[in-house]
Amino acid sequence: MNHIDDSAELYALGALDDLERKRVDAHVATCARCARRLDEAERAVTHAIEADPQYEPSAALGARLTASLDARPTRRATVPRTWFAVAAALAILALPIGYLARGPMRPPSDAQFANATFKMMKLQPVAMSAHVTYAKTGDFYAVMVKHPTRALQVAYVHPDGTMETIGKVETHGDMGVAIMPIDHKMLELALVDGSTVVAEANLAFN
Amino acid sequence: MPDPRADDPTLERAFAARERWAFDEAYERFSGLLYSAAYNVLHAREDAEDCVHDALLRVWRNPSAYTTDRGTLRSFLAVCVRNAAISRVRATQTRAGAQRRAVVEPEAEFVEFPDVIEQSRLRAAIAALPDEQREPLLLAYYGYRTHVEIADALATPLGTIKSRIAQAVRRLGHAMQPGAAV
Repeated sequence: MNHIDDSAELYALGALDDLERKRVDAHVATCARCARRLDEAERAVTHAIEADPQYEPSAALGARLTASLDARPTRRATVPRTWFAVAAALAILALPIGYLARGPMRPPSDAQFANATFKMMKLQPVAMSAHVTYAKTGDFYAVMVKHPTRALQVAYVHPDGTMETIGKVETHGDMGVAIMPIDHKMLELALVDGSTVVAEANLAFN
Repeated sequence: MPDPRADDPTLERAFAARERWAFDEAYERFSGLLYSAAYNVLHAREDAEDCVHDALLRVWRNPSAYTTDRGTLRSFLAVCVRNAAISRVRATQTRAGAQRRAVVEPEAEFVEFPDVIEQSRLRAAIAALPDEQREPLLLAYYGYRTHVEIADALATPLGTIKSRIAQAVRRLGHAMQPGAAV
């Protein structure tokens, strides 16, 4: 991506959509000049945020955050960055090939079912009820959406924040389903409506 | 407690290094600002708290989300939470619905305008902007419109709108610097 230029101010003001914002995040992670410009823009917008009416959250929010932090170790924070770089590079190279070769809706084989452990995690925050079921081995992923109202796509959120579309939610009666036989342990998935992220899930493989 | 508006390189380095005390300290200092950023967009206590919770956990669990090169932690988190709140509005409800909800569902307890002088300076700075910059700025900040939507609404080329919004934000930033005359 080229330098973000005027997108810095748009980002700070909330005038970018989710995908544009992800691109800015990815760029400023490696560009000090743009990071400084974005910082200046965020400082300016923070003056406006401060000038709006101010409220205090309930004590329950602090307790909830503490519980969430204690309940789930920050696995991704402990993984060396070099691993992320290698994983991202492998994903970029391997995913489209694997995806196209095996097809987006091909169900897992019996062997995959027999050898895999399934996990279910609710995608959140979410405008509709959605879950992702995935193999512990990272062999495949199935996203299910109850009463999908829009054309939704599933995206892999790379560790550097960039997003790659890997599947389309197909409607079957009241359910929307996307099956993705992708052999890669994806730590974060997003459900995307057009250019807006409507749900996200962090996945664990332990 | 230290002035929550002051930069704190020690806290920022520790937060970037994912030292747990830094998360607790940042929440202690900035929770009011972050919650207000979310509440003033969502206008519902539960939604605002969900938004702050999810945004902070997302930042904390992504080691590349915040580094010291990224800038001021306080502004970074405030914009991060506000952007997350705007995404929720765009994803879950129409703007008309959001505006109606803002009128009929005030849930949180109003605390205060923390700094009336700063608020007055901001208003003066916005008033001093040329109309062509002020209008898209307000549509973005209070209307939660994207730059594409604003360009369409104002029937103005996208590049022009981007440039005008960027100039407006930079002018506000300069006007709000300590000692600056509006």
